[in-house]
Amino acid sequence: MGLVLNQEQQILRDTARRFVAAGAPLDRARTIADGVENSGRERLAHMAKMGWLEMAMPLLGGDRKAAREASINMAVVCAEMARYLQAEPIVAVSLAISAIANYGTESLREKLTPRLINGDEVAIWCFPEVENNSASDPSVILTRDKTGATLNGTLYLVDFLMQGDYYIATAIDDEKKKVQVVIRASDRGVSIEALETLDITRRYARIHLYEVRVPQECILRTGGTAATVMDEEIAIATALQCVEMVAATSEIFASTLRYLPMRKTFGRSVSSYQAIKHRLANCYMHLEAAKAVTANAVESATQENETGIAAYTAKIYASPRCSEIVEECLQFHGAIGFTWEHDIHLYLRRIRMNASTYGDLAWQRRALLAQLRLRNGSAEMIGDGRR
Amino acid sequence: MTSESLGGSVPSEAEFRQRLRAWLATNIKRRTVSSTGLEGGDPLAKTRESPGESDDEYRRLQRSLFDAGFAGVEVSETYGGRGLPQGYRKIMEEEMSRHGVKVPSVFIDVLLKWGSEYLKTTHIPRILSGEERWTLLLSEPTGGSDLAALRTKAKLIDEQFIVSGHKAWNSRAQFADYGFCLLRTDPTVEKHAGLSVLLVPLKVPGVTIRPIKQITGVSEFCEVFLDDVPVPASNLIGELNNGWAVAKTQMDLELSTAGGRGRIDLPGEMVRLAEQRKGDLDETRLEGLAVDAFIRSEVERCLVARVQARVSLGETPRYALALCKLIKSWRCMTNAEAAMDLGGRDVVAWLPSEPQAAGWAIEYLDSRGRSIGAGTREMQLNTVAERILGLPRESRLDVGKAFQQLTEEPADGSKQPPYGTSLSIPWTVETRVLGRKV
Repeated sequence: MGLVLNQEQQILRDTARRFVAAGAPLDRARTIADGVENSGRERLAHMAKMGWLEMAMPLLGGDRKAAREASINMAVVCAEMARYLQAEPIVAVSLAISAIANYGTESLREKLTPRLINGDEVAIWCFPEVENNSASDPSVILTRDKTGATLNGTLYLVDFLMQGDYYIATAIDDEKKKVQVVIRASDRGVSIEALETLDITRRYARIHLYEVRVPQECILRTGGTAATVMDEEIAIATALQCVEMVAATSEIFASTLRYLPMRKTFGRSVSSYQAIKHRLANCYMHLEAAKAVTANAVESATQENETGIAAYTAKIYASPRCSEIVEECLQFHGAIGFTWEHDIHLYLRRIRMNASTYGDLAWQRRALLAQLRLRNGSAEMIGDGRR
Repeated sequence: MTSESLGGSVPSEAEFRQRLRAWLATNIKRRTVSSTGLEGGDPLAKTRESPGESDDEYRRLQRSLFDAGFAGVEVSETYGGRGLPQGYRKIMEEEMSRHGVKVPSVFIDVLLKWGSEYLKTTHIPRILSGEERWTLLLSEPTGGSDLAALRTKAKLIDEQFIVSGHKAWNSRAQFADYGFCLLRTDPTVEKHAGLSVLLVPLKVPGVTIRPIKQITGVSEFCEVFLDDVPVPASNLIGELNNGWAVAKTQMDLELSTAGGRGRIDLPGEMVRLAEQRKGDLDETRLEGLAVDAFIRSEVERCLVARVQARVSLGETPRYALALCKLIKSWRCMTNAEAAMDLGGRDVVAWLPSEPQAAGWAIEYLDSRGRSIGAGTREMQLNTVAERILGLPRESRLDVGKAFQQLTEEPADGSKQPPYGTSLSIPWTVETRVLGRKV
């Protein structure tokens, strides 16, 4: 994954590895792919027992040291889960817990936080997707009144494996300001459509909001900083998503390296052909580079004045590279790589879909350019990448 | 000795850095390289303006560093250095590189490891004081990647080697007093086993040095012709016929810096230009070019830091430094191509009165050498594939054969030897420009 881990984080990694490896982990991914009913709640409760949900709390909220540690811890968990394509949307669950714990009204915080970190209930953070997927302004509109607010709009692509009890949405209010709210799945006016998706190892849904009542206590107290909080959430989500992509890609690359020497053609192993060797070496270079920018993104995402540059950079680079590496691995396998039974397509589906969730690449590029312009405007040298 | 210079006592690292910075600030003219490009500056500054680039300037600078106590900080005092711990050298390198000046340390490291007491006491102090410059004589026109197949040879006659051959791509050889020369001392054994490293004096009769004009029109390298040049036997670095190990030390030390960095400020320039062109039909595409250039630079920075850290922790073999070389050449070349796309008409044609507009075109041409110099991309990919990923080695036709077997026609005339029988050099000054004599 590219991060330097301290002793505690190494223990966490080993625990996570054992947790995922218990039972055949890819068989688990297959049951999700085959559409077997599985809410993942039982597993979430297990993760809660190991303290992994509580661990996510300081991701937001401004305690930089604790946030950095939390982001590395969550990265460790995400990496181990993603190696075998586990379905649980750790990123969305973690960010929701952290947002409610840090910005929830007192009554909401008291009510929800303990239930969420114990895994009794599930809240899901939603990326502010819009219909044409091109702008960062959310497509949900919030109208305030005396007792709270009313929501209208659509959450286009929401993590849905656990069929969350709550969703955290970003909306635009009457003054064109961003505001984050907690929506109950059971509220009147919330209708949920399960989606069919490229990645069959995860579940997604589209949520329509029609005249949904939001009591005052469910509006997060981000004050005038909702936009900043949203940017921070996006940076963290992007960095952790890169961790998942890089971890999954590393796994399939390693398994390809184990397979190729065994496969013989014309009396020699496939891996002895220079054309193949060079492509593998090239894949390895890009994989190592993807790990390096991802580690940089995880370490920067929670830091003060972080404008998302490191995270956007990581995704714009790592996402297409990881796709290419998995595509190459499929090609190296030949026809067997094109079969449903082989696991490569599960990895290809996961990684290719990640490119377009939590901000597709066009969105990420636009966001990066905007930040570069701001930085360029402040007359700093950006060329050598040092700040 | 000025007040900023090092004096006699051992300073703390922080103190050392502070003094060095102050000294450099007053004694080194700021490098102008980063100002080249569309916004002004001299397009050829790359080859002219860095401090110490002219011979006189280099020697004067090195002398004043030496006098101020900033030369060979980690080298023992016996050999004219300061005898400080290794940490100080890192500080030296970091601070000097901010001014675009390279610390002449690699040759000294190799001498310290392999050189005789005579060579160390004679040459290290002279290198440190700028009295003496060395160049590297490795590559030959007949083959770069297969270095050990080199043909320059030395015969030992009465305590003296007689050296003859043709070396190429020797950096600043026109200024050098000596060449660190890998050559063949025994053609009757396997090709790696018959090599030695000799310190060849270059300002003597029998040595002809000619600059190589690169595709940019500038000359950073030379070719060196050696015609029966006498070299004292005492100039042997390491043992006779152990030259491959000696040269390997040199190449390993050079690996992390090999190949140059190119224009690191390009992405910033590109973002600025893309902004100026707001409103162009192709705005989104132009912005995309600039964003990608920025990303590639960031990726290189992160990967180089990761690889260097892992190598120094022993988590990955030194061969992984090949990844740094690969990513650097990828960044340099791709960014330069993107800059040409972004600049369009304005960077391929300019008025003679605006030569600064040539900056990107020169960077584009120059970048083509990044995947060749200091080990081609193909060799680096082989290194990664074989030494890191553990894939099978390439098959070879030269294993277990004496070098002369590889170059001489067999008695029965049955088959051409692997390296061909012709000892003439296919690439010479006279023939290389489409038959036109230069």
